[in-house]
Amino acid sequence: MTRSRTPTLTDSTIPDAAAPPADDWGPFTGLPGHPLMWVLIGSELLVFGAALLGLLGGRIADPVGFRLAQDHLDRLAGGVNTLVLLTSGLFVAIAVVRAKAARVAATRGWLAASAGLGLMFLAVKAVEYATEIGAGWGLDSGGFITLYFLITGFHALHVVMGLIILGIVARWPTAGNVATGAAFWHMVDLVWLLVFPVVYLVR
Amino acid sequence: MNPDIRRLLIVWAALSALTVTTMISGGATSPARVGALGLAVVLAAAVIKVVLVLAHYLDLRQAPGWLSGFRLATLVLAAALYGLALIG
Repeated sequence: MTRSRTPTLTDSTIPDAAAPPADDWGPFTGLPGHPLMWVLIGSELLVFGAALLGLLGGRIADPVGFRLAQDHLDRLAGGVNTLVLLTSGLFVAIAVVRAKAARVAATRGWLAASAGLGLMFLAVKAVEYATEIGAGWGLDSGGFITLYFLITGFHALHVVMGLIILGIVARWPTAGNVATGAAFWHMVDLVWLLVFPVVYLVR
Repeated sequence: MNPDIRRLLIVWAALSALTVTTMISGGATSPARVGALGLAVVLAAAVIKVVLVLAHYLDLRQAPGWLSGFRLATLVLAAALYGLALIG
């Protein structure tokens, strides 16, 4: 007489009628790219939104100090970098169109062009930082300057991460991978569209 | 030209024009303080740009419910930023 084996949690053959299909992400289904990327996008927008609210809240406490420090920022460089990121976003969006048409070489070409502009963004930011650090400012300067370095530095780290992700999806350029990588890159773009006016121009 | 790419190019041109408008209204080449109207233009342009990127670069026009939600959240954030900017 044989005894039936007790199912275990690791038994992949056990049917689970209550479990949704693997590709059912509920309200996230149908969003471009991987649904978890949208969780990240929402989270990042909340974090940067809170940081920008904190910056303007701090300005109320010390309007003169903030104004004097903010006047030393290179606002033109910030504007140029906005145009650089928007153009980079255009190139990534075109890469998504090409990836959907299974045009691998064109997809990689547009991703590379976008990454090149991402590097240009970082180069402009590095020149800005060099000027500001040369003037004696740093992360520990306090007030506006500390918040400026934290917010723009955190954003710059996201640009670096975005460049790595673009490199990965260029290596494996399926339509889904490219759409997911593009979503991250556009999130970096979206954040800057709010950071630039609030940090550089509101005064 | 591929219609999707033509649409993206038009959106990019609009985004660039809004950025130039932002730089002018926000006095990017001037040390002068920005007035309440200038701040409103700067933040309104930012909201429009965010919605354009969401709708077209990120293709959320295919998910109108999500696009509406992000648009509302951006508007609320911009209104709060504007209020704090006016107080400061």
